[in-house]
Amino acid sequence: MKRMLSILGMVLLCGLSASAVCAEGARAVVDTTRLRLGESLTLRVMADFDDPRVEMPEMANFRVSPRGTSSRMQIINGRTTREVESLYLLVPLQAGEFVIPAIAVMDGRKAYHTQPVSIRVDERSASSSVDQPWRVTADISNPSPYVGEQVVWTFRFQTAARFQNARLGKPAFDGFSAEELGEGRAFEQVINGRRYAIHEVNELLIPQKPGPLAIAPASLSVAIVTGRSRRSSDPVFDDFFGSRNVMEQKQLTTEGVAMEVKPLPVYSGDAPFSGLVGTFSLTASIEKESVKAGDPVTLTLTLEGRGNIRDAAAPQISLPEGMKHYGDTPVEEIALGPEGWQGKKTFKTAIVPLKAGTVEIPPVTLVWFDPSTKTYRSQRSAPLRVEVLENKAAEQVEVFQSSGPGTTFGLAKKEVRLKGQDILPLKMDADAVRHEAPMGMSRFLAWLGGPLGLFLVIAFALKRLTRDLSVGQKLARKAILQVKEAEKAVGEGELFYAKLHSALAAVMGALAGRPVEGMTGEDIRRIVAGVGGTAEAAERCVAILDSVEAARYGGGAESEGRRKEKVQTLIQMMKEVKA
Amino acid sequence: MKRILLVLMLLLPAVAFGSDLSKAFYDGVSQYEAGHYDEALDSFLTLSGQGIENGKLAYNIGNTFMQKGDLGHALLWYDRAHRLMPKDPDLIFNRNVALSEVKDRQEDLENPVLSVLFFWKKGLPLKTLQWLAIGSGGLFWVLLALTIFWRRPPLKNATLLCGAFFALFAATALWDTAVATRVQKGVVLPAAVSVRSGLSDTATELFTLHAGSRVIVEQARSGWVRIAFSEGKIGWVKKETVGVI
Repeated sequence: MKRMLSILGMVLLCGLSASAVCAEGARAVVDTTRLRLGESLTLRVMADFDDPRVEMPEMANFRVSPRGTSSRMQIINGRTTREVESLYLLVPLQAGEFVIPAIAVMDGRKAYHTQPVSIRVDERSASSSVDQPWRVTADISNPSPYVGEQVVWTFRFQTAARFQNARLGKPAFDGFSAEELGEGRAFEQVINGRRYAIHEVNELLIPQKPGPLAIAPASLSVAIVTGRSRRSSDPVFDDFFGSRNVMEQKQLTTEGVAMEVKPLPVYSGDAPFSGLVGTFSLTASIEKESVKAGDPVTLTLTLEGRGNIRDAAAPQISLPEGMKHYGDTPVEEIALGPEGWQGKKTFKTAIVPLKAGTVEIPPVTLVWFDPSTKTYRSQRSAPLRVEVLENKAAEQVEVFQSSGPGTTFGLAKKEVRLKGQDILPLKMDADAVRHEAPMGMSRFLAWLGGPLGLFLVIAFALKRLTRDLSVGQKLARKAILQVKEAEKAVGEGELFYAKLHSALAAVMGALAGRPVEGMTGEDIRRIVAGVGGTAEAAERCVAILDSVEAARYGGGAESEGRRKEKVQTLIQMMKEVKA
Repeated sequence: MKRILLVLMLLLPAVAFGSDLSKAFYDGVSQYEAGHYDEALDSFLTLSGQGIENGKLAYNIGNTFMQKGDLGHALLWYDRAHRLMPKDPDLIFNRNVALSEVKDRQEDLENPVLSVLFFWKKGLPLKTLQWLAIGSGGLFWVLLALTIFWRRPPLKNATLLCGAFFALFAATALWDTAVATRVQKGVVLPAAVSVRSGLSDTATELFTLHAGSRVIVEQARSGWVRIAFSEGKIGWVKKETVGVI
C-alpha cells in the first residue's frame, strides 16, 4: 500500500512539473502552412518569460527577415503571466514541402524548443486552396528590344483585401538607363467575378548594351488587413472606443525578368547615322527667302518623334561656300509619356550669306533606326533657297571694322580648338651640334664676381695712387681748390676774405712743403725766398695778407677789381710753383 | 708662311670634326623623315654620346622617342632640352603632348611657403634669372663706383635700388643653381615600374609609377635608387628604370 502511494505521489509530481513546462515554454505559430512562390508567411515565436533570446536556425529554403518584438501581460485568477512575441517574415525561395525546424528560445541558460512546422510552397501559377486575395507581377513591354530602344517595365499589385503601408523595393536595373514613368496609377477591375484594386508602377528602361540582361525581382512590403478585433461584446462600449483592424505584414516578391537585347544592325548608308532609335520626322524651314548680304537668316530644323530624342545632336548642315553659320542652343519640348520620351527638339542656326546671289541650302538628312520595321530609315528635308541682295552698308561697316583691331562688331569669335594631337617636326639648325651646357655654379660665380673684382681693383689702384702723393703735392691740390673757391666768392665781402686767407695759407703750405698756420709777413717772405721766388712776388703775397687782415679786423673793403687782382696774384703764384 | 701653314694644319682636324658632327646630325634628320626612327636615334645618340649638350639635339631625340612610342625616354629628353632652351615654343608644345599621355597625376614637391614668396620667378627660367643677376650686378658696381667719385644723392638712390635688385636676383639664382646642381630630377622610363620598400624584387610593393612620371632621385645603392614622387610617396626602384635629367 505504501509502495502504491509513493508511486501515485511520483506520478502526480511528474504531472505537475509537465504542466509547468507547458505553461512556461515557447511556441512557434505561422499564419499559413500553404502558400505560393512570391508570397510570404509570418512566423511568430512566443515565449512565456521575460527577455527570451530566439536562436533562429539556418533555413535554406526561406529568406528570413525579423520584424520586431512585442509583449503582453495577462492576469488570470490573480496570477500574472507575460508573453513575449518575436515576429519573422519568411519568403520562400523555391517550391516544395519544407519544415521550419524546432527553434531554440533561451531563458538565460535554459533552452526551450518550439515544435517543427511543415510548410508547402506551390508554384506561382498553381491554384491556391486558400485563394489568396493578393498578387504581385512584373512585366516588360518588349522582352527583346534593340540597344537604345525604349521599353516599359510594369509592376502590378492586385489585391481584393484592404492594405496599409505599402513600400515597393525596385530592382537596380543594371545595364539600363531607367526613368520612373509618372507616379503610377490605381484602378479597379473585376476578375472572375471578384473586384480587385490594381496598383501599377511603370519604369521607362533604355538598354545600354546588347546581350542578355536580367531585371531582378521587385519586392513589396505591405500590411494587409485580415480582420477586425473587438474590445468587448458591448456595442455601446464598441461604438465609443471603436474597433481595431488586424493587420498581417506581408513581403511579396515578383519573378525576375529576363531580356535579350539585340545590337543595332550594321549601317551602310551614305548619310551619317544619328544614333536615334525610335520613330522620328524632320522638317526644315528658313526664316525669310530674301536677305541682304552680311545679314543673318535663321534656318530651323525640327526633329519630332518618340524614342531617345533627348540624345539627338544637331543634324549636319553642309552649306555652300561663302556662307557662315552659327548654331544656337537647341530648344527641347520633350515629355515622358506612357510609351517613353516623346516630343520635339528644335535646332536653330543663324546663316550669314556673304555674297549676293541665289543660295541653295542643300537638304538635310536624318537617319535613325526604327525598331518596329527593324530597319534604318532616313528623311531628307526639302531644299531651301535664299535670295541674297547687295548690301552697301554692310561693306562700309566691314571696312570700318577692319580699320580698328580692337573693335568687336559683327559676329562673336569662337575659340580655336585642337582637332588632333601630334608632335611638331625636328629642328634642323646647324647649331644643334654645338655644345651649349647650362651655366654651372662655378661659371655663374665667375660672372657674378667679375664686376666686383674689377671694382675692387680700381678702388685699390686709386687708393694707392692717392697714397703716393707728397704733402706738398696734396697741399698744392688743396691750394688750387681754395683759390678757385676764393675766385667764386669775389662779390661776397667777408666770405671772400676768409677764402682768400685760406687760399694764401694753402699756397704758402704748398711752397713750404708743410702746412702753414698763423703766418706773418716775414713767414711769407721767407717761404717765397726759400723756393727761389722774387722779392716782388713775396711782397705781393704780403700785401694780400695785409688786405685780408685789414678787411677782417678793420672793416676796410676793397673794390671788386682789386679783389680779382689779388686772386690773380695767387693764381700766378701757383703757376710759378708748378713751373 | 710656315706659321700660317702650321695654324691651318692645327685647324683642319677641328673643321673635319665639325663636318662629321653635322653629317651625323643631318643623317639623323633624313632617317627620321624617312620613318627609320631606330637609325635616326642612333645618329642623334652618337652626337650626344660625344658630350654635346644642346637643346635642339635633345629635342630631336625626344621627338624620335615619341615616334617610337617610348614615352618615358621621350619625356626624359624633352626635359633635358627644357633645361637648355626653356622658352622654345616647339619644345613646349611637344612636351605638353607627351605630358598629356602620362598616366600618373604629378603632385607638387615644392615647399608651399617658398612658392608663395618666390611667385615672381615662376615664369623665369634659371638661365634668365642668372643673366638678370649678372646684369644687375654689373650695373650696381658701376653705379657704386660713380657714387664714390661723384657724391650725388640721385646716384646714391639709384645705386641702393639697383643693389636691392642685385641682392634679390643673385640670391635666388644662386639658390636655384645650387638646387639644379645638387637635386637630381629623374623620369620613369618603362611603361610601369613597381616602387618597393627595399632593395630587392621581393620587397613590398608600395605603389606603381608609369612612364614619364617625374621623380627626385635621392640616393643610389647597389644598382637601386631611392626616389621621391611626392610628399610621403618614396621608395626604391632599379637604377635603369629612372633616367636622370
